[in-house]
Amino acid sequence: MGIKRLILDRNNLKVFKFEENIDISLKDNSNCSSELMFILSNENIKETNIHIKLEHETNLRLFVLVTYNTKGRSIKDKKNINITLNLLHENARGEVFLAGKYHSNSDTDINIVINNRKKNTKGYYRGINFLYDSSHIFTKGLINIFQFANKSDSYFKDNNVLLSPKTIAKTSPILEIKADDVKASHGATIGMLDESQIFYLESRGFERKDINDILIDGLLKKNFTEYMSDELYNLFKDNISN
Amino acid sequence: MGYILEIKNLSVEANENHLKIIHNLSIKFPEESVSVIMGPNGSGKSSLCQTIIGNPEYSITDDLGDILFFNESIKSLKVNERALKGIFVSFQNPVEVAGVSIASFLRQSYFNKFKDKKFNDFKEELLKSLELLKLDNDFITKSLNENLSGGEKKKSEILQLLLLKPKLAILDEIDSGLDIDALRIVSNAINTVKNQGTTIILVTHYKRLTEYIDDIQNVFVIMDGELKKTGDKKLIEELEKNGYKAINS
Repeated sequence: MGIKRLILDRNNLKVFKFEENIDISLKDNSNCSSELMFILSNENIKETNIHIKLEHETNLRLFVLVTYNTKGRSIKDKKNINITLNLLHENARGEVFLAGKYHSNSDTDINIVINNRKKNTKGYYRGINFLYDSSHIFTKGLINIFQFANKSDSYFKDNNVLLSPKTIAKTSPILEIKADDVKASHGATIGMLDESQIFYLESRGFERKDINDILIDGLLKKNFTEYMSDELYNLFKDNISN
Repeated sequence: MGYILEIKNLSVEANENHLKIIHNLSIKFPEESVSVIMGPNGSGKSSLCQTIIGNPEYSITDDLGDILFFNESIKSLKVNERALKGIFVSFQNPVEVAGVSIASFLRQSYFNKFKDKKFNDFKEELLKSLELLKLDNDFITKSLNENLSGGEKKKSEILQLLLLKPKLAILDEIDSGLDIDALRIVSNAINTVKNQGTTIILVTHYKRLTEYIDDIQNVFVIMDGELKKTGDKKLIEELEKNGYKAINS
């Protein structure tokens, strides 16, 4: 499988239907702020690798939407989505937002690696996964803050919503810190939709299927809306809502 | 005029600990009336409200017990079916729903109920209701009940009541957390709903709310999950003067 290379040197938003291997570089001192969106929807691709390299004074927001169309069909192979955020030089900042919807018996591993290699670099991951049927997901997040990468700031936040009793979500955050004076944190949630919220909406006349959509939309908004344009948010919403 | 709601031999327990909360309770609420349910903390008032709307945390323990709405049993109906029939229960502590704006929630609830109405009807009624509650138009851009003060949460409940125009409104401690001015505003809104034909059941500990509500006909005192006394508005004065202990003696 080939590797696509994408070099960005100006402010832009690009939306890709991309499935396999891609290297993204933001060049040194380009002072650019880019937004990229990848839609992963081909169920036949077993592994997707996204490698990001950010140099001096660069700023990237990457949005990943996982919507394999596996509803109602049995899936044979496990899928791997690997995203590596390399913050190579000072003042590089990268943010990865991932939202996914998983159906049938799909089994997905998501591996997130954030490498803060130089001082004052910032790397953030924020994910939300909606699991239906008997789907499984395992998200691993590793934040590596290298020696001399002082004043770095990174976090890994992973949320998983179980929409069927047969779904399984696991999440494993790891922090490896070899520098002083840094900020690094992680947080994860795994749970079903809040029964008290469901009851409240039912008491106002809502049907259960509409309630799921309302609460899923609310969770997406809560996690993502302040970071993306309305246009991008609506694309996420349209793909994640049933 | 008949009864809008009839509680018949109702016994209720909390599913969590199987604690019996309501014991063989029977009360009738006349249509287009204002009734007040009073009682000390832990007497079963809120559990009764939650059972009427069908909260799955409570179970009716006796098969003979029933809840009739316009003479029809509703105990086997789903929560949303009870709501769509015209029962509205306000919550003491309405749950926060992050990411769902009050505006979109109100719009969807309104059109769930009034399918033939136009958007302009909704907008007009919404603006009128916000004005009645002295709320800024920005209020509806907030997430549902999230980061609202206690008073704002209560106003949010009343805003829903004004828009949904139920046949029966059961308002559970709608006065708690309200300052004097907010209490007057909320009471005025309740009177407005009442004058439009909604039957009101107020659940409260205190006399102060009842001073602002017009035409209170019935007062029911519940203690230890049982109906202890029935009366008219004078009973509220009696309770204020002598406390709940006097009811038992």
